[in-house]
Parts: sequence; C-alpha cells; structure tokens
Amino acid sequence: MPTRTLIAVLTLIAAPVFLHAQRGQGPPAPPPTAKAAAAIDLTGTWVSVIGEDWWLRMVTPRKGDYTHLALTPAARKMADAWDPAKDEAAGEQCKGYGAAAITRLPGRLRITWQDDHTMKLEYEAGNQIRVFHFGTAPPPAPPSWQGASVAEWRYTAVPPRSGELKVVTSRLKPGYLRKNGVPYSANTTMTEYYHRITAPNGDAWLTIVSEVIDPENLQQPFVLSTHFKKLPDGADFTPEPCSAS
Amino acid sequence: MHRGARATVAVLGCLVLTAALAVRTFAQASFETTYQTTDFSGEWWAVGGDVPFAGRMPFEVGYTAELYDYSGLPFNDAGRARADAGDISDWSIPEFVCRPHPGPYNWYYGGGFRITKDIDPITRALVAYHVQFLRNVDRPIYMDGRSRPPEWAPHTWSGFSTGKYDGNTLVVTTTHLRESYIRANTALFSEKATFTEYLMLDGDLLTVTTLLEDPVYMEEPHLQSISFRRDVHRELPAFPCTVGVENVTEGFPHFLPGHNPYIDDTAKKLGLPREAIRGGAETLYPEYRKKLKTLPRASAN
Repeated sequence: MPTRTLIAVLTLIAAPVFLHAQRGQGPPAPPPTAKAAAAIDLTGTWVSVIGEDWWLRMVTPRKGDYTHLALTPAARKMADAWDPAKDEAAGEQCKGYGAAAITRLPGRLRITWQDDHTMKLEYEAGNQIRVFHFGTAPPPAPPSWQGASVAEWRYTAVPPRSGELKVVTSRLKPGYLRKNGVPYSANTTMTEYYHRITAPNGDAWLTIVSEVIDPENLQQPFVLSTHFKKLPDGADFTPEPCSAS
Repeated sequence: MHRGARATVAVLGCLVLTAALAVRTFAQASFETTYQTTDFSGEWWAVGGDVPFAGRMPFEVGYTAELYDYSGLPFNDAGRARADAGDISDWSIPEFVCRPHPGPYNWYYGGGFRITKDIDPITRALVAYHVQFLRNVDRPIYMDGRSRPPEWAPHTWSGFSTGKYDGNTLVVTTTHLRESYIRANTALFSEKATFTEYLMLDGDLLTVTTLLEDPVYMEEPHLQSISFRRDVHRELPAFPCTVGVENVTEGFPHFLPGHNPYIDDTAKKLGLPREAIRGGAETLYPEYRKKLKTLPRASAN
C-alpha cells in the first residue's frame, strides 16, 4: 500500500476519535430556566384533604391544646395568653396564616409559574401568596407573613429525570404555628420538600414535608407532612379572608 | 517505504491505538448500580410533631386515639358500624394480647423501626427490604418482581408486600391483610383493603405516606403520612410479649348495634358536634367547615 494511502486511512480512522474528544469545548449553553428544568410538575390546583389531626385543623384548637408540640416555657406562656379578639382589633388576624402554618390549614392551593425562575403559590386560606425564587436570592424586603423563599430542584440519580422541590424560607414576621396562639419567632427557618406521588387510581397527590426550626419557641425541630390532592383544570378557587379565631 | 514515511505511519498508528483504548475504557460499565435510586436501610426514629394518633410520644404530650373518634377517616356506614361494635378491652383476650400491629398502623405507633436489605450474595441484586417495628417480627417487602399470591392465600397482620422505585420514591403495595386497626381505637380496615406506601428521603428525614383503600369500610382512599429521622446511635429493642389471661368477662368483648354507650364521649370531651367525628369522605374537605358551624355541639350532660 502506498504510504500516502496508508496515512489517509489511518487519519480517517483517527478523526472520529479526536472529534469525539473535542465535544463540550464549544461555548457553554445557557442554563435551563427553573421552569424548563422542573423535576416534577407542581402546577395546577390542589385541595387539602384532612385525613390526620382533623380536630386540630378543621376547627381552631382550643386554647391550651399543644398536642404534638414541644414548646419552650416562654412559648407556652405566650400561647396561654392567646386572645383572638385582641389580634382582630390589632389587625393581626393573619398571624395564623404565615408560611410556617399555612400548609396545614384547610383550603385549595394554586401553583403557577410567575416567570421562568419564580413559582407562585396562592392559598385560599387567608388569601395568602407565597413566592419561591429559584437560583437567586429574593430581593431584600422586610419580614412578612410568608417570608422569603429560595427553591431548588433535586433530581433522581438515574434517568428518567424526576425528583422533588426543596424550599428554604426565612425572614418571617412572627406568627402562630397553630391558630390557637402557639408562637413562632422572627428567627424561624423552615425547610420544605414537595413530593408528587400517584395513587393506584391515578390521582395525583402532593406530600409536603416541612421542618420548622425556632430555638426561641420550640425545643426541637417541628416536622410535619401534609397532603393535597390534584383537582381537574378549572377547579373552583375561592380565597377566604384571615380570621383570628 | 521511506524511513520518514515509516516513522509517520508508526506514530499515527500509536495515536489511533491509544485513542481507541481510551474510548473503550470510557465505554466500560460503571461500578455504580442503577437498579436502586435511594437506600432506605437503617435505624429510624419518629420525630417530634409528626405523630398523628400515635400511642407513644417522645416528648411532653402523651396522646393516643380517643375512643370512637373516626375524624379524618373516610368511613362509610359499614365502617362506622364495625368500629362502633368494637370494645377496646378486646386487647385483653389471650388471642390478641400479643398480636402484632398491622402494617397500615405500625408507622403511626411512634418510636422507631429498622429497615435492612436482603441482597443476593452472587448477583448483589436487592431481593427484599425487611422492616422491623417494635411490635412486629419481620415484614418483608419483595423487590425482585415476584408475583403476588392468589387472593385465597392466607391473610396476615403484615400482609404481602412488593416494592418498586418511582424516581427517588419507594412505592410499596400490600395485599393479603387481616382485618385490623387503623388507629389506636376500634376503627378497623377490612381484609379486602389494599395498602400503598410511599417512602421518600429528604436528607436524614424519611417520610412515609400511606394510602389505604378499603372497598368494604371506606368511601375513598385514606391518606396519612409521618416522618422519621435516621438515628445511628439507636437499636430497635426486642419486644418479648407474654400471653396472659386478663380478660375476666365471658366471650369476646363487643357492643351490639345501638348498645354502645360511649360513642359520644369524645365529641363531648372535645366540644365538637357528634357527627363531625363520625368520619366520612365529606368531612375531609374544606367545604365541610361551613356545615360544621351549623351542627349542634355534643353536650357533656
């Protein structure tokens, strides 16, 4: 075989190998938006189904009922002094509707994308809105009932892509962990995990796991898991005003 | 061929060989397994807060289910009738003193549990998870795709469970259960019930969502969940149980229909309408609060 032919054949064999090695060296593609990179679809209208702690949730718990709660003495003292009429008069009737408590209240939850990097959660309960920011910290703002929330997708280790949503919320205005005056402070941090599951009958459910840490009022982290069932498109959504009692 | 050309050919040949070997190396199978996405084995302990209707609390509030409290349960009339007929003192009969908690209730008992893996020593495939609670011996969850036994096969306290992964979540399906309790009172599920569990891991938190479908006693599926934290400093203790004859009454403790004098006690104690704690699908949804306001409260007198 002539030398030139042999060199040409070897070059042809080698070329794909070197081209393969060149991959990934071009200009980096822009990162996908949080909306495009969603691990699961949380959008739509969901309804809370009160299958546990019914009489702590469907009615306002009685004063002094601290079932499941490991309160500090200071928190117990504050809760023992709960006066819903006083809260109403002070315009503080939404104290029981803050981020650390609202998931547990009966009502519907509507989830939409506000933009490519921001998720909006609207609650019938107290006509409240939470905003989850992906990728960047939320803009500075004073403490509020719903605080500031930073979100990130967590993906499965192997395909097909799925996963959960993790949300960390802080900068909360002091509120009630339960409507009967159990307090949480401005130093509260809440971490949530949103899981979507499918029932054997095909219904879609959300399980929201929340861990509330408040050294001022809780002797240990307060962990709860709460459920919402997916409703058909166009389901009713009727916000309710806050009520202190 | 000239010497220079021979050298060029040799160099190119070496390059091709090296590159080909590199590609082959990258193409080899990974050492990572792919059949399992999350490892749930370990020792787990209930966390404060999320122990609905549990009998044992790790902190200040001792709390068990109130008698004849069906709130949160999507009971139908048959479910209510069956539960109303129950007498909690049936625990005192020898046949029931040491009965294990049923699968659907065990997560909510409080305390902890252990999950171990049954690995095939040759293939290293995950054959089964085994769950051990305080008050049961061993509950296998088969992961090897084995078929379910026929409907007429024996029903047990734990039932027959198979598992599969859905993303990071372990989904467990259980059938072949014996009739037993949903919570620490006389509320029961039937032997026709199917139980689906979803195990989800978030850091060191394990959350179990349970979905109970019972065509005999329920109007719709009953969903609950509970979270546990991994605890590497704790071991599940043994639970020796001795059958004792504590029952001094004749026969099996029960109430005939319409003769249970205690059904309203919890509603009176909690200051709630009687109907509210009788359960039913309607009572689980937010709209029920409007009806609740119109119902008379149970009177303590």
